[in-house]
Amino acid sequence: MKIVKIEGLTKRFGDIIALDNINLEIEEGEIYGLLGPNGAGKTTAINIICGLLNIDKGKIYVFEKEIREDPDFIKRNIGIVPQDIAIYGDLSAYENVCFFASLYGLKGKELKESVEMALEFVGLIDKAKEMPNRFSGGMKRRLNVACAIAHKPKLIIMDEPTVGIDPQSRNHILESVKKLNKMGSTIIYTSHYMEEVEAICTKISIMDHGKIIAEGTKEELISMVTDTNTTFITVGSVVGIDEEKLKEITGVKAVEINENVVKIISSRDVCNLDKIIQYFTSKDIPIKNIKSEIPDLETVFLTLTGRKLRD
Amino acid sequence: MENWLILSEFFTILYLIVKIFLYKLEYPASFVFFILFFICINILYYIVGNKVVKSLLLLFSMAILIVSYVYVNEQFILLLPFNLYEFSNINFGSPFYGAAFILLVTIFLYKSILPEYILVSFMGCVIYNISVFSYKKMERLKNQNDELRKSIYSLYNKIHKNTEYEKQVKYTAQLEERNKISQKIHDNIGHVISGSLMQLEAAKILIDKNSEHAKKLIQNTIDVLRDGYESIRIALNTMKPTTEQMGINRIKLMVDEFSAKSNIDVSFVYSGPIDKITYFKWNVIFENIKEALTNVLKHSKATKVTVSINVLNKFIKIEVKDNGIGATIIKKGLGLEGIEERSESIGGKVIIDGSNGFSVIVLLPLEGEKNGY
Repeated sequence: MKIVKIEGLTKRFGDIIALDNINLEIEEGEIYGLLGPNGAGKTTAINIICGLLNIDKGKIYVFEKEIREDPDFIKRNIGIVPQDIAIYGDLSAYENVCFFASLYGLKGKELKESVEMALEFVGLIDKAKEMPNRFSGGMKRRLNVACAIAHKPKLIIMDEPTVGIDPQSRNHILESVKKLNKMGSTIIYTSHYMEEVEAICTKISIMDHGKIIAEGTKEELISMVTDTNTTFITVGSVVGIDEEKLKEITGVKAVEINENVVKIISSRDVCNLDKIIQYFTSKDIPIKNIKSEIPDLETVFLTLTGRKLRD
Repeated sequence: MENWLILSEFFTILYLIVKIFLYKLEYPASFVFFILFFICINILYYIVGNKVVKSLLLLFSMAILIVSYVYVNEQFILLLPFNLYEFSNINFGSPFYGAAFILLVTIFLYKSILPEYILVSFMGCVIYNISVFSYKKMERLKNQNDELRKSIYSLYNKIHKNTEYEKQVKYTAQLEERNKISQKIHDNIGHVISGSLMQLEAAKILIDKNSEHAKKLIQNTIDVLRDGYESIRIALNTMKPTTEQMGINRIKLMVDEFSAKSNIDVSFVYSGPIDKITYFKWNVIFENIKEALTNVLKHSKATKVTVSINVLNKFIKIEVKDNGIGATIIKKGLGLEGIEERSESIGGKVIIDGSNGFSVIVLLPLEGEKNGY
């Protein structure tokens, strides 16, 4: 099932085109990453999927339903973790989750169980009675996540959930995203941190200036730009290195020797670092340093747009 | 426009005549006289051109109507509104004064004729206004039409001039090429063949007397011909341009022309295996760069532009970037829309960024995804 399907979506704010003729499909069970610099249109896209913004042009289907056809059904099955933390500082953690879950129509025993499960899931069950005012940034974020998942939505949308938190809480959130996905939720994850998206997303769209400029798995995206890895091997002396022999190793495409650095360009599909190292050890050439340049999504973005994801 | 007024005037006169004869009213002889008199004056009104004479005629006609209204038959007053409209139209340029006069006249009328008088005046007023309105509209449309025709004509001229110029350039280029080719044929083939001919002639004479020498000559000829064949092959190979040469050169030419015309410094770079770009894509690239450069000239106030073509693993990236004022709010005009349309029709993407100078990046897939290009 296609959880989200967007056709020719255009959204303007006055003169500014926030989204420009976007097409997008999200399959069930995916962790779908929206990657792009600030102002690329990620949050606008999400607000539109949630039905919070009207659109100027295009068609949007969520759970295979036109978004205006049954907005209540769609909203009931979406959980959103907004970019800005949306919790009440004067209510306890438990009360916060309770409040949001009851908005989705949970009652009585079901409500209590769901809230406890959600708090347990984010690791805040022993802080349930405490006020979020005294929580750290990371804990507030986690509580924010708990509020969004208590009603067990089919689609969870997380809009930059790791902005401004400590590495530990970040890892916790990334792990919980994976866990939620395993438990059956489809997840849309936006971020301008390339590493996070690379780590957890099964499919990625790179956005810029309101457009999706590339889409695919991490590997697909990288292969758009290049199909090689580059390894720099620093050795004590290059005497005795046979370029031709190195080129015979599977996957090696080109070899360059500069002073005492050997630059080996090899195909991305082949793992041959072990064989390369073996060649050097068999010749008794001491290796001083190995540096691998493996292209990542940052490389993709930089090559495609000439700019960096973050300034 | 006047026709409608005349027509309604005619119907009013008809109405008067029918009414007079149906009800057998008095004074038929003088009635006929005054009706004819009125018609004559009004026809005269449309014949003369002088404005003053026209007004005088109208005043006279109105005087006749008032006299006949008082002395012959009160029905005559029904014709007065038409004269009043015409009078106010030629003297004040607006029928509203006429309407005011008409209302003024009602004060002096007999009650028996009053309703009819008002009815006729209002009908006249409506007809008159409708005709004025549509006449003005027609005038406007006619003017617009003329202007459009003029601009079409000038555009047509421009196109015609351009195609002429293009033809001229093409023809000159062809002549140059022909010249080069004939020179090459002369240098390579001409010499080889004429030399060989002479040697063969000599061999023919010598073949009986000194067959050894003749054999040597023939061998010589064979060698010369072989060399000649080789050099022709090389010449043909170098002469026939490859797709990427044609594409790159076309863009280089355009970029140079742009740079010369605009005083904007343009640098053009390319990298990667550009031979993978198909002829069709070269066309799209060419058009897009041209359009982007036009935009630079029109909007950017830039002094420097970089045009680059990079062939990546699965994409061709074409970028036109300037150092001008950029734009925080990008309004897509025909140019940018054209770039988008062309690129998207072959599965490409366009990234427009106005934050640091202005840059247009077009990403085209290397393998044709759509339409089999």
